[in-house]
Formats: sequence, structure tokens, C-alpha cells
Amino acid sequence: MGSVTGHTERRAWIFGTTAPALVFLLVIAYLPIAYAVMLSFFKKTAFNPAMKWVGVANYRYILEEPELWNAFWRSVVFTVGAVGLQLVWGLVSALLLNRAFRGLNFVRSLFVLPYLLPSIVVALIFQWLLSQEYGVVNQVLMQTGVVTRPINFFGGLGTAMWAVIGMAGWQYGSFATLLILARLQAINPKLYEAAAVSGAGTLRAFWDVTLPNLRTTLIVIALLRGIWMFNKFDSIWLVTHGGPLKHTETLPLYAYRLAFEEFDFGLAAAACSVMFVVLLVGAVVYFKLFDPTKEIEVGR
Amino acid sequence: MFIGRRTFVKGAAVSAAAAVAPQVLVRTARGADKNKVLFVSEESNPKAIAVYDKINADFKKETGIEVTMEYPGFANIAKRVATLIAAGTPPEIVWYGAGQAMNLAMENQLADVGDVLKATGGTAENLRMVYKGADRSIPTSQQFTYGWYRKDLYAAKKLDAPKTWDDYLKAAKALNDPPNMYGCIIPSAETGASTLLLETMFMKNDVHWFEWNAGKKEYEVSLDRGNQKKRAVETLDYLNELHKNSPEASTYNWGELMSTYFTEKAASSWYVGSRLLDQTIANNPKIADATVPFELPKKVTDAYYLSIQGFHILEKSNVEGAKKYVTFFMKHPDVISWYHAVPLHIIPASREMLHSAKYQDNPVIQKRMDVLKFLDSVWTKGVPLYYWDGKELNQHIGLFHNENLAGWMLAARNIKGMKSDAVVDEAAAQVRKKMKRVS
Amino acid sequence: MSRLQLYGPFALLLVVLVLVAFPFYWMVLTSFTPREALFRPPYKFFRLDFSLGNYRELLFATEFVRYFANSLIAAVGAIVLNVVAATLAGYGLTRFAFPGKKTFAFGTLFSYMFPPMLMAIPLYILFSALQMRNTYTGLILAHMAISLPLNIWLMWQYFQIVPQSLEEAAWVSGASRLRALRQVCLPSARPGILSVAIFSFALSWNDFTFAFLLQTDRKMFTLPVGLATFVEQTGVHWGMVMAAAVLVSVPTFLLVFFLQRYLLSGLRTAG
Repeated sequence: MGSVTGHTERRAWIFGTTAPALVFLLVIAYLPIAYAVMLSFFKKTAFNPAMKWVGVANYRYILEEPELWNAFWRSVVFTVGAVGLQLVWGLVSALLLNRAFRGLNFVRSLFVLPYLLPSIVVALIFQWLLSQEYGVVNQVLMQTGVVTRPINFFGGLGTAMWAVIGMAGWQYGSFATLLILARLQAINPKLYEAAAVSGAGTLRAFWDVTLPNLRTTLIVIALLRGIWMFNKFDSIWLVTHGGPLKHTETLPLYAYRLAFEEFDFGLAAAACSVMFVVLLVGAVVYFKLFDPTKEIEVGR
Repeated sequence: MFIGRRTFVKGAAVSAAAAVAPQVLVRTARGADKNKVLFVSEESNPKAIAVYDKINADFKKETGIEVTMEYPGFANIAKRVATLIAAGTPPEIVWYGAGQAMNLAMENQLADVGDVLKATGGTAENLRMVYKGADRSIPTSQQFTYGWYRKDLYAAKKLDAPKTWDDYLKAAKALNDPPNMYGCIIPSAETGASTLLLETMFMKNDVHWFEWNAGKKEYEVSLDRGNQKKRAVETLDYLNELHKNSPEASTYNWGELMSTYFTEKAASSWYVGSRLLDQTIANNPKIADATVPFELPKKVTDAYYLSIQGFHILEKSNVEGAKKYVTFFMKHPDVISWYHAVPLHIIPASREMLHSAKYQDNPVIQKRMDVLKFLDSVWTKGVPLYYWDGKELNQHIGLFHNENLAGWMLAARNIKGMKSDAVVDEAAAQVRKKMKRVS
Repeated sequence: MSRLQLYGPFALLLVVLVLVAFPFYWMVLTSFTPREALFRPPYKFFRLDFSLGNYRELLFATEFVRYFANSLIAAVGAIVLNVVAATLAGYGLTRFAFPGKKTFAFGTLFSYMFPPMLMAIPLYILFSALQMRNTYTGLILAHMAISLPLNIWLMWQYFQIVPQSLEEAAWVSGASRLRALRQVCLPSARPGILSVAIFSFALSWNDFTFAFLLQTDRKMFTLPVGLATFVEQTGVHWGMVMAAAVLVSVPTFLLVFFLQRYLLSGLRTAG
């Protein structure tokens, strides 16, 4: 059935609906990104407005810097750890919340709350909870005899990264919970009936019915959260500043240090461009492997 | 993904526009407005802000120039200044540490303020910052790095204020009773507090990162050579011994130096100034009277790490208006209230002012005249880091100071357990690498 | 059904609930604890000494209220602009065929990938030149840079699920496209729009990086930046900080509590 819109009117509609978004993105996102990438080919210090063209010198320098590769590795550890934790948390909590009981609304709102808090608030809460001198977690651990000395969570060489991953999991896990829960509630209950009829237990039903339906959701969550966690700056910085001894210095924190402690904007831009390229490559590989757009019909 | 010709052309156009646009925008950004002065200040204490407001209002009445304030806080002020300069709109005045301002001076961003210094009565020799033959800083205040201890706790163990390194270690051991009470606080992190501690103790042990090479007329890294290295290693080992009587402090910065002390978890602490006393009075007044300053014990020298703050005027801004303002500020009668905003912490740059009745007319100062007398006794012993290695201004200080390399050294020694000479070697190598990159 | 199967899920739910809720409980408890008691561990889990001192100090002795207002204004602005732009874009992308659509799709995803931190500097330069530094407009636009790509994707997917047949029925009964959009499409897209609203709110309310680098005047600080500066010069005053955290969480909680119905049904499409 044809639409009621004539040809020129149609052009106006296409323009009218996509132009606002396009203009915003162009000015607010694409232009700054292009400028930042361009900046990476110049030598520019923080305290001098002048810039000097240096070609790929910045890239050559940081790609040889062991600190960049260390930061890259830490970014990978953090991203995989945080996203993995969020997926597991999201799946478990969504399955548990996918049933009716009194107070469900209250509980569900509680679950979503961490995601909506500013990172500084989460950072402060966790610093207070996990403090070596005043933290209640250490108090409980000592009173129950699990440890004899308080653990320096955010300041310990071996514990800092895990503490940060745990905090990110707590804060962002509910994003996964929400998406998975929504998808779970859209699964046709008849599928479960059919599985029960053919003798499948709960575990089998989960494997055969639930998981396949969740496949795309999990993939999309992993993609979106992966990008976000890879670029995460504020949560980690606010709670450890990259310490102790740079053990939680991921790529975004490294770029920040280049810009505002070594005062070299050109280098920082190069580091950010490297991050961007890594994500691009990762996204392309990811799309090829998992194809999350299978359900997006672009031709429509 | 097929990229058609049209898309490609569009993409190229966007990139070209992106590359050019900011340059164009920066050039058309508002030039120096003669009637406006932007003043970025590190001190954001509410009492200080009230004084700024009053003086600015008076200034506007007298000259018609409007002064806008920005208070980014001391952790972020360098960032603010950097972004302002990058946008082509440098502030007129920045009030913060002269050590940080040196970064600006080296990029030729600071104006010559010799005339303002003359108009406001000059300043002591050790407070000047001279670059390329001109004064670049108008000092207003200074802080020394010194210790604070609990006189009552020390007295209970029959201990006096420590006078030597051994004394301090003994006292720290005697009062150490973890986890309820620690003998001292040795921050071991890549933070400013940790950096200043090591640099102060290096000064006490006459350790120099650089040596002046008279032949080449330049500074060279000397930390890992001969006697310097020996004393550097000795200092690190001493601080490691002290650290055994301190909380792990692997994330500690200035706030923790104060809070761990006033929550009665440490028998001694230290600070760059008297803010620790100020905070103790506010948060735990019952131990305030027993909180007494002591000189961080000397070893070879009795030098004090000196932190100087002052006005710095940026070259490419409304320099004339800025100079008028600074002169006006320094001569305004309410300047005393500004010093009283955090009494005993913001110490005047001028010794006459310290001794003046007007300055001493403040309840906190009157109550703690002992602190004032202490400050007077160490007055001439302060040395800013950039004049520690020689008469010439040492431009390379920023290379290790900005990034808290000294803090890294303490962390590597105390938290990671690296051997002291390896730590010193690594630090010296880092500085040399940075020097090569910058040249 | 075995005992494990009957009680297992509820036990697990309880554990999960404790993990989520305990930080909040501790936060609230600490906010009501007077200053002197705070630095004397060990702490009791159930305390009866309530004090409003922290709240009083927070609301009257600091600029917390102003920061709260600034954050709110930025968030509302971000919601409005995001909803308008993303809804229109989602509609246009699903109802019309035109070249470059796939590029547009991937383009939005790619801009989401760029580290916000380094976008802040060029944005700073741009806003300074346009005299938009330290304005609400500037901050709202900056927040859109990170939320709009995600929202366009959301609405795009969502509109694919809103069947065109509804609109066609409206056209048949004589409505123009515009009228059909307003009266038929938008209502059925409401859950999607609400999820866009909530995500935009979260990203704006949560943002530290842009506010930190773009807002330089104390009067324009948002909550995250303001809170970070509380902590700096005077050592952390935990009671007051937790009181701030509580005040920040309560309105958010209420918002979610009343809108979660829409939130969940809206997200059904994102998978």
C-alpha cells in the first residue's frame, strides 16, 4: 500500500527527520573527533597555543613506550573482567527477578539504581566501604576471622584491579539486568511448555529455550558495555588515580596523564586515536563473528 | 561496506573542515578586552573568596575593570590553565605555586612583572622566580614542610620533639600500636604528598637530582652518581624503616595526612603548612592543643622544602589591567583578611608582615603563637626546588616533579619492595629520557 | 520438587539483594551518623543515634543545592533534545529508504566509540569561540555527544517493531503523515521514548568528564564535579559525603520506581 506522501514531500520528511540528529552529531561528535585525530600529528604542549607538525613522530614514540602496552593490557583485563562480571550478574539477577512476587517493583527499582548514580558517588561509597582504616567490609572480615589484618583493597598491588572491576560490575551490572529481563519477559511461554512436555528439566530448558533467545541480547550488551568499559575514565580515576604504582592505569587514564601531567596534548591525542583504532578493529571483528545486526533490517 | 564516491567526498570535506575550523575559531576568539580580567585562583576557602569579592568590587569602582574569578581547586588548576590557553583565551592572572608557574614561564607565557614587584615593595631573594632575565612571579605567601606531633602522647612515653633521624625513628617505633595507632605517616604513592616528603628528606640529606656543569653551562642529572646516590639510597632506606611504623598509605595524599592524624590514628604526621592544625581544630578540637609543630629532623643540611605561591600574569592577555589589579590587591587594606582566611597556613611572603601587629591580630594566631614563633625560627631556611641545585633557575624540575616521580620512588621502595639503588637508577634514567624527549 | 529447587532461587535472590542493597544501607546509615562517631571503628550495624547534622551542613554550608540544580537542568535539557532528535531519526530511518543509511548506522556507533575525554578539548575550543563555555547549552550539547548515538540505535530498533500497518490504517482514514506520526506512532513508541529518556538522564547525570573539563566556574559545577571538590582540600568528610550521596539517589530512585514499567517494555526491543 503506498504512502500518502508525494515525492518532494517525501524528500522533506527524510531531511526533516534525520537532519537534527545528523547536525548534532556532526558538530558535537564528528568534528571534535576529527580535530582530536588531527591533533595527534602535531607537537602541542598544554601551555602553548602553538602547534608544530611532526607527522607520525607521536605515534612512533608512544607505540614504543612500554607504558602504553602495559596500559593496553590493563584495559583488556578491566574490560573483559568488568563486562564478564556484568553479564553473569545480569543473567543471574534477571532470571531471579523474572517471577512475580510482592515488592517486585521496589526490588527492580533498587537494582537499577546503581546504574543511575554518578560515578563519583559510587566511587565515594566504595572507598568508604572498602577503606583499610574505616571500612565496614574490613571490619566484618576481621570480626568473622577471615583475615587477621585489614585488606588495602584499592591500594594493594594485587587487589586494586579486582576491587575496581567489582565496583564497575556493581555499578553497571543493572544495565545488563534490565535488558536481559526485558528479553526474558518477551519469550513465548509456550516454548517452555513444549520443553516441559518433552521431558526437559529446568537446566535443559534453560539451555534449549532461554539461552538461544537471549543470544542477541547478550551479544549486544557485550558490545555496548565493552566499548563503554574500554573507554571508562572517571570511575577508575576517581577511586585510584591509576595507582597503586599504575596498576590500575588503563589506556584512558594513561591518555589523561599524558595530557594533564606530562602536558603533551599531541601525545595524548595519539594515545586516544590508538584506543579508537583498537575499538574499531574489535568492533569489525565482533560484527563479523556475531552479527548483531541480524535483527536490524537496514533496507526498510 | 561500500563507500561510494559521494560519501568519500563528503567525508573528505568534513575532515578538512574539522582540521581548519578550530584554527579559524581560535583566531577569531575574543582578543584581550581592556576592561576585563580573568583571575584563576587555587585557594577556594570561603573566607578567601569573600575577600576576593570585596577587593574586586572596590577595584571595579576605582578603575571600571571587571574581575571574574575561577576556583578550579589545587588539583585541577594546571588543567584549567592549560585548556584556557589551548582555546586561545588565556586568563590574565593565575594565583598558584611558583613551581607550577615555571611550566608556563618555560613556554614564554608569563609576562615580566619586575615593575609590579618594585611598586609593591619588592620581595626576599629566595622567593623570586627569574626566567630569561626577568621576574615572572609576585610572591604573596609561602609554606614550609614540617612535622606535627601529639605532644601528650610523646610526653606519656617520655619523649621530646625529635631532633635527629634516629630520634624520629625511635619515637615512631615507641608509639606504633597497629591498627589503632601508628607512629608516623609515610605516604608511598604517586601523589603530591608522597613526592614532597621524599624531596624534603632529600634536602635534609643534601641529595641533588641535578648538578650544574659550569663548562657546558647546564644542569645534568646527578642522582645516580657517587655520593649523591649513596645519600639518596640512605634516605630511601630510612623512609622505609619509618614506613614500618606507618599505615601502608599506598593511596595517601594530602587529605589522608590530615584525616589519619585528627582521627587519632597516628601519633605524628607532617604537612606543607598549618592546614593540618586548622583541620584538627575543626574536626577534633580536643587534641588541637596537643598538636605541636616540629622541624623534620636534619641530617646534613637544615634546608626546608619551600612552597611559594604568588600572582603570575600571562603574556598574551590584558597585561596592563592585570598589573593594575595585582598592585591594587597588594596595597588594599583587606589583604590581611585574606591571609587570615587560613591563619598560620597562608604565611606572608614578607617577614615584616609576619611580625606586624596587624597580622598577629587574629584569635587563632594569638592562641597558637608557638606556631608563629616556630615559623619565624625557620624563616630563612626555606629553599624552592628550582634553586636547590644552584644559582641558576633549574628548568628541569618539572620533568620529575610534575609526574610525582619522587612519589613513585617511595611507592616502589615501600610497597613494591624494590631495592633502593635500583629505584634510584630507574628514577634517574626516567629523567634523562624525558630530557631527551623535550629537547 | 526438591527443597533446593524450591528454596534455592529465593536464597540466591536474597544474596544478590544484599549485594545490591548493602552499599545503599551503609550509605544511608553513615549519612545520619554524627561526625565524631564516624572515625571510631568498629561500627555497629544497627545504630539508633540519629543526627541530621550532616544534612544541615551539606545543604546550608556548601553549594550542594546549586550543583544539584545545575545537574538537573543539564539532565532535563539532555532528555528533551535526545528524545526529539532520536525519535525523529528513528522514524526517518525505518520509514524511508535512502542511500547512505548503513553508513549512518555504523557512523553513529563509531562516534560512540571515541574516548569522551579527548573530545572534550576540541569541544572546549569550540564552545569558547562561540561564547558557550560555562553555559547550560554547552554542557547539554556535550552530553548529547555521548548519548545521542546510543539513543538513535535504540529508537531505530524500536520503530522497526512498531508496525507500519497502524500508520497505514490511519492514512486510509484520511490522516496526513504528520498526523499519523503524532497520533498513532508516538503513543505506541512511548516505551521506547521513555527508555531513551532514562538513558539520556543516566548519561547526563552521571557525566564527570565533560563537566569537569568544560565547566570552569564554580557556579556552574554539576554534582559530580562539586562532590569531587568537596573531597579535595580538607580531607574527606564522610558523613557529609554520604548525605550528598543519599540526596542524589532519592530522586533517581523515585524516577525509576514510577517509570520502570515503561523501561522494561521499552527494552524488549533492544535485543
